Amino acid sequence: MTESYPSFTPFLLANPFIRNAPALLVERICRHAMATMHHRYRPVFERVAEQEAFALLISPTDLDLQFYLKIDADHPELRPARHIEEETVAAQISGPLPALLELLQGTSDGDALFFSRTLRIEGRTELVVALRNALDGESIDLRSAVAESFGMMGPAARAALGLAEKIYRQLQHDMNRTANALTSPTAKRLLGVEKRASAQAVTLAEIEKTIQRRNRHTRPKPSGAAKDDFALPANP
Amino acid sequence: MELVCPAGTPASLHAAVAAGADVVYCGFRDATNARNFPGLNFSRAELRDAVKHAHKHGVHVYLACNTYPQAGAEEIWHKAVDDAVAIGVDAIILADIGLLRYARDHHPDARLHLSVQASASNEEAIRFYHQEFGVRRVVLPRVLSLDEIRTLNQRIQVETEVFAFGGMCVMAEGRCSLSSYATGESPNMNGVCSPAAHVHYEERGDTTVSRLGNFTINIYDSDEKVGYPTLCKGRFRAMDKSGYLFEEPTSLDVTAMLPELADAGVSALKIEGRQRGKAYISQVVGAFRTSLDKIAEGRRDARSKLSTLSEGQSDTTGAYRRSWQ
Repeated sequence: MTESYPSFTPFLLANPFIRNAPALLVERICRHAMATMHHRYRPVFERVAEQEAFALLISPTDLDLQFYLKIDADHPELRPARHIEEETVAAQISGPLPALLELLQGTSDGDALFFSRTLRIEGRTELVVALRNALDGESIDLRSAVAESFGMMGPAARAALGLAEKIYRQLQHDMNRTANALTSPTAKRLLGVEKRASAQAVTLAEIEKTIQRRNRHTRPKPSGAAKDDFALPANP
Repeated sequence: MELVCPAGTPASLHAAVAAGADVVYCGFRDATNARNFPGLNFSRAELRDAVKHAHKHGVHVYLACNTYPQAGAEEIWHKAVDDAVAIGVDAIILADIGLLRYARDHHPDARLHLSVQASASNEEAIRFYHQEFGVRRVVLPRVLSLDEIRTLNQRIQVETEVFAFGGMCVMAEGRCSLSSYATGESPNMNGVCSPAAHVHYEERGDTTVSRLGNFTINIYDSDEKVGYPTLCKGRFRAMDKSGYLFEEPTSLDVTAMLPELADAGVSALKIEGRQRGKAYISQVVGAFRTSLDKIAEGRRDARSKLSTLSEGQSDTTGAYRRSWQ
């Protein structure tokens, strides 16, 4: 299965907290999220699991955590994955968490994310395609789902989510600037190396042509040959 | 020119209508249409609601029933035609001559369009479909140049619809057996080219290997964009060189030549991609709506910003401009 490089997103900063969070708490959050999704978007589960129930491994490349997702019309399941589960799931989807969330809400095109290699898929492609199509057929709104799951505290949760999104966007902006500051000197150097390599490739090609022309002129004509144009060069 | 847009789900149809489609085309959830992917397409009830929604917004709906009926199972295709008429779609897109005759005999008032799957690319073929079955529009195969389309339009009595954006197909639409050879299932009979159940991706170090059935279709380096593994877009080795021998994984985009297509007498532009998500539909349909509106105002819009949505993340004007000739 996939061994991906971590994606440079603000979710990377959450890893120290996730690593140290009590396992029971993480499991409970996952269970609660799945119960909310199942309640709000039951047709998705019915449509995907029409033929069979199956499990996927969801691997956000910016989190030190993988998720085991079981798609079942009546008893779906979401929980942190254990190591052995790579062998038992039908497929694995890997990618940065923001991209996975956009896919879930249908705000990004799954094929485009895949073509650009933002997302990677291994295993039974048809199940991933069926899930993608079913999700895309619904209008999933995570903000509303989160707010609803807090019941009476919904408006407060929505406000907290809004604040979290604002902080996320600021962090993303700052991290992009940091990444640019760190990589731009190397990128500039690489660009220079590439330009020099391209110029040298052109020079090399011209030298090779010259050598071939010289070989044609200096090589003795084979006896009986009408024209030496058809003879192979001595050192092709 | 009419903007004909794809929808694989009711949500996509809503997205297409909101983004400015003149027409949305879709299919039933079975082998009667050429995008028979898992979890995709419309039930009868969903199509009924979709037609209601589209008509409310002044948008037409076409039903694609464009695969070839399997011997002994024609009833499924006949029922699709009957149901489409009963639901009130504005046109049915057909390819098979037996099915065209069925539609003509049982629903003489239905508007029939000829699918690209019929591969009608010359005057005589198009005249035949028009005279025999009353076909009122033909979707032209992606083999014709702009000049050929112009000439054709001057000589035929029916409307023409051309592909404007999306995945390309090798130049034998409706007659291709490559998928069938590799997987036992074909777009012509089963409604799906290179079915997902036969597709496998494997991450091998920094490379991604794509397979279709038992065939390795491509091995992508870490800096290359990935494509869907169809045999026609595979990278093969021949005469000590490896490359895309049939077709590169690239997408059609005619944004830069919309005025020329209008001038050539084209009636409608088709966007490919019923298998794509609603985000793709919103962006592509929105971009073409803007371009067409600009042209209608006498402004030219040559820039396209859609390459990130394309397979291979690159685009071409295909056979419309044959730069290789």
